[in-house]
Amino acid sequence: MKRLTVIVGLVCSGLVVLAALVSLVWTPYNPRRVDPGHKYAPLSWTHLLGTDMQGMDTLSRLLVGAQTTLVVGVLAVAIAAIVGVPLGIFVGMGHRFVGEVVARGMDILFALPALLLAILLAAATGASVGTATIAIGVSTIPIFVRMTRAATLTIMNQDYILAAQVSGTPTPVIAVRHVLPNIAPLLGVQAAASFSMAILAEAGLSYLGLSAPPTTPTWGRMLKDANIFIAPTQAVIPGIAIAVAVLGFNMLGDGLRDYLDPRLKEVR
Amino acid sequence: MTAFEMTHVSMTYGGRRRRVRALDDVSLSVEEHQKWGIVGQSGSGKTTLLKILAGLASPTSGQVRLFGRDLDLKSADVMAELRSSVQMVFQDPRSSLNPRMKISSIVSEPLRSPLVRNRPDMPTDHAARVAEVLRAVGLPPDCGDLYPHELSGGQRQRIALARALAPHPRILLADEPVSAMDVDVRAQVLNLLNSLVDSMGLTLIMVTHDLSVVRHTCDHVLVLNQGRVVEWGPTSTVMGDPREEYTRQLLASTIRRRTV
Repeated sequence: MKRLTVIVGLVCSGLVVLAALVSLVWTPYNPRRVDPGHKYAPLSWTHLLGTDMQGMDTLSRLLVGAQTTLVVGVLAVAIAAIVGVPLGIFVGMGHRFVGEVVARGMDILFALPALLLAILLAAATGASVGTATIAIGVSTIPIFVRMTRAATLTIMNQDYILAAQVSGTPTPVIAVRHVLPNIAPLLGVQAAASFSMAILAEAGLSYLGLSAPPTTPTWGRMLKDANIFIAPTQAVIPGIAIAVAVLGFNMLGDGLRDYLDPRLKEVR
Repeated sequence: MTAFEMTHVSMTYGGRRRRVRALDDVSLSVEEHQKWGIVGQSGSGKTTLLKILAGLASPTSGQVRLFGRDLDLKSADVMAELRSSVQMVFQDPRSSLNPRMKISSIVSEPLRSPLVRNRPDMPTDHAARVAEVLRAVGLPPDCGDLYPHELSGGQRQRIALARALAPHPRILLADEPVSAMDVDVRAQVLNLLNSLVDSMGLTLIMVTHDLSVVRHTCDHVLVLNQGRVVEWGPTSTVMGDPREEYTRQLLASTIRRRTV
């Protein structure tokens, strides 16, 4: 069962990565080529997944859209991890009071959804992939801080921390040598889970026009541009793509969590 | 020379609502090359006492001296002396050895500490010193590439002992060093600890609840009960002819456990 979760997760997320890689070297048509003569073409051998209201090839746009999805996901998780992990470790190793203050601060940030941040940033600088990434990344920081802090507190109860202190190892060295390697598996799981959340958030933001500019093909925008009455398949296709990507990375994260669970490790 | 001296040391934990008095007016003087056993039941404050000596906690009141110098945890000078002359062996090697570090880096960690590194008598060739201490604790020197989980419980505690001995400490603190082991391994590890302390001329302060361990290893004993000193003196005197009722009970309880 656990293995099945990991396999399905790997296959689904692998498909998304593959789509993005293929689109870098080859797409059936230019994804930005407008062809008014063939709008709303049905699925056929010339247009495998049909065309949209401007006659642009859907398969090409779907493949290129995977790029935006992955780039936003990777960068958003990177922002969250680069800020959240050191802060979480610092707070977990530091004074209890400081930890509580930061934790409550993170709760406040947690209450601020990515959507609100994205609207704020779009209003200030205009919507772009960058503003969407920052909005999603910043709103993911509290999750990383909270998780890292909790994991760090568990590690700080271990005697090898005391042993390192007794031999005079400086606190920053303890953080890098003892804390970080022991919380790394948990962080990997969290990254995979946050990645799927980021993909969903990006699709939502581009649906609302708060992400990439209209010329860039994204799954969210394809979903929005589809006319459900004239060509319902044009809405279903990006919908499936989003679902596969979110499901894939979610299951990958879940599978990893089960696989790396220390309680199960003892048995193995 | 007096290695450690505690005068009227008290320690209270907790906030306004629930205060726990872990140590209550404890005085203790440990001469160099002595081997002290700190005994008492759980909750008697013996681990707290060890933490204060290790500089991991500061007493609420009272004075602690290391080789005649006030143990001020804020003074860099004193801390350098403490960290380079005092090392500690913990109760459970499953918790005291980082599972993601190789044996060689675990044992060499004290050598890499900035407080110890600059000492003139410090071995500069870490690999050689690691091999040397591993041999001293009876492990093959080539086990440095292994991870802790690849060793048995007794072997792991030998690693913890090797780590403590690596930077040439003068004082060794031990917190129940054999109570997490199987009975047959206990005697081995204890004999090893004992012979290494003797051959290296170390001062030993060992916390335990097992009086047979004290009888086997220590020449002096301090009995604690609920943070207070009940009795102290040479092991033969305290255990042969205890003056206090509590010590008699403690002795009787171990003897009873033996016969069962």
